[in-house]
Amino acid sequence: MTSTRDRRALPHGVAPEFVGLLLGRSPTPALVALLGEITRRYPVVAAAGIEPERLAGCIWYADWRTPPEGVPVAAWLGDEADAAHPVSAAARLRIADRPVADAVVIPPDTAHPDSAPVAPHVRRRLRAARGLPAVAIGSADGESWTWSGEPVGASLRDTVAANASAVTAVGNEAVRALAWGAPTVTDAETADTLGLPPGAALVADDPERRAALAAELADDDRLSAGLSWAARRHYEQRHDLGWVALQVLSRLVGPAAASRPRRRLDTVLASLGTGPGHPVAGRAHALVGDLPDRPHEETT
Amino acid sequence: MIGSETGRVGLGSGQRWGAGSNVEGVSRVDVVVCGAQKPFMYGGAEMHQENLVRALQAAGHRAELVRLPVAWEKDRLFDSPLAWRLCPIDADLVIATNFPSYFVSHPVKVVWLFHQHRGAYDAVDAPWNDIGSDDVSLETQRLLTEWDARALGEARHVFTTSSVVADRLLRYTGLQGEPLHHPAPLMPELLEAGRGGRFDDYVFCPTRLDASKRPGKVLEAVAVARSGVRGVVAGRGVLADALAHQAKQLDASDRFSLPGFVSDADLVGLYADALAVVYAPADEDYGYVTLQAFAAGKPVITSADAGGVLEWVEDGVTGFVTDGSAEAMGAAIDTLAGDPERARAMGAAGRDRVQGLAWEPVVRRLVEAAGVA
Repeated sequence: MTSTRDRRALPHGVAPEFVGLLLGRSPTPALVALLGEITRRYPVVAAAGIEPERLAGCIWYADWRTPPEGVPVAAWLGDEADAAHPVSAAARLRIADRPVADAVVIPPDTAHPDSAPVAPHVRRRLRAARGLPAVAIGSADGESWTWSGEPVGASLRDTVAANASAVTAVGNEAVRALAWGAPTVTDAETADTLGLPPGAALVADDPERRAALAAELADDDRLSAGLSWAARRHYEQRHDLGWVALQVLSRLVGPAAASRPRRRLDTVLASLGTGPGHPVAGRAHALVGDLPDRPHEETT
Repeated sequence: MIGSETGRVGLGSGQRWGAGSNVEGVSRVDVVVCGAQKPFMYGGAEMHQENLVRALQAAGHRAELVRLPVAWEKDRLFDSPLAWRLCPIDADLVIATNFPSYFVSHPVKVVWLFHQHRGAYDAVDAPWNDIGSDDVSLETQRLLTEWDARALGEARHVFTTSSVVADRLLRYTGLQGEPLHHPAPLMPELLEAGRGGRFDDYVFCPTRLDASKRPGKVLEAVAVARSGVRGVVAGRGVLADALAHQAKQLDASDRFSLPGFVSDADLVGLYADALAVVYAPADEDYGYVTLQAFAAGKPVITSADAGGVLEWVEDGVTGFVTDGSAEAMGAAIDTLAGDPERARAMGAAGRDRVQGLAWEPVVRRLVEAAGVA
């Protein structure tokens, strides 16, 4: 028994390189935002106007037409009728802008697009390299941030979130802390509002207790490391449209079509959280060098 | 020097896999074991990968080993992970082992983690490491930690070779790993030979002669010991000449020998007749030497910072855990030299700890965790 991937037999010279749309209603803002992200990797076209063999996947929303057989489908669930539709039932995945059925929830945007997870042991070395204290607690209340108790300007909020040993944060700024993978302590209301699962942050309603927990985190590598990564994962799933769009695309179309090696490379890098502007991406593309992106591209 | 001649788990009497394994009723799966290899280096990790493939085959599965080369310099550190990511592997299950093979992309991935790239983690200050405190280095460290967490987080289950590796994984990436212990090479031969072995006037250490293994500790302990016990350190490596020179400096050349590479048969013999094994590497991942010593019925003298060795050596029961100083290790040697019966009892206790290790349950656990059979 050797498992095989879902591979369709394709006519010679044809590659599935488009994502098709079957829209029976005007797309909601969240669906528009998702499509915007998808177009960064795949051309999005009206499914009805293209040969099915050229579709890598199809997004369906309340349309009377049935997607072509064999084309993987993501069904947008606008309401209960969409959820009950046979196309949704047979779809490879279901997507929506709110928690409904088993749909992947699409965030409205990417809250902190410049963020990147910084693990506690890296934070420690960053502080040491910059002559900062070995332990430094960040704190956010409303829009105000502090570093070791000292207020900092808005331009330094990301710096605090990325370098602090731990962060106490209540309100919406907790999302910034999560985005940077800060070991975070928050209150119950914030945890509830953000839908934080156990393990994504420590919770205490008393400010002094929060401060004490944050200080303990600075000495607890194992707990800090777990919180750091869980924080970032939660941020990506709930507040990072780009990341969610990538997951939707990966589940819908699988690996990028082999006829587009550079797209495959970019998709692989993106799956590791690394965008096209990162030096590692630059090196990867440099190594690909003059290789044509499609097998039949002429190089002369 | 842990069975480097063949590297194979022996097929001596009492073998735990191969003969007698029941393949009836086993759903056969196609397994690819993924491993990284530094070109021209062959050691414990490579043996482990090959033995795993044999064990999978003995259990009735189709198994192959796929290796890709790896570079550890920070400007090439991400090349091999990307290569693994792009490799199409058609199999029911992949079992990834050392860095960066666990970057392999497969819907059914189980990781049996030998080690991550320690230069980004606990060995960041090691002299061989090029990840410094400059901005490029710090971003390299940050990115590799992120990539490791993502790649390892994809696995259906993460096992580790030892509690030490599991603890490192938790401490640096926040991920949980389950220790899964396996037998060392030559265990059947050592169990057999150890039954009739003597407790002669030497302590033994088979190891690669490099800084991480700290073979000099054996020499220093022997030089300090008052009982006149000799030291035999078998193996090859960059420190061979330095050790010979140091032995002369310590006036211990007559009590310290470096036989270099020895055959499997000679290795078994050296274990079998040793008074004890002295093994104090720096934060070892697992420690085949410990298991082999115990299989041969020998106590182990080690240090408190030896890492995975300490998962097996219990101070005063199966050996001695010292502070690693020459004086403390020398005193432990003298204790055993003066009381061979105690050495025998400790060795017997060590044997009890390891003689249950087998490949069959390991294979069963790996395949079961994948959920494919």
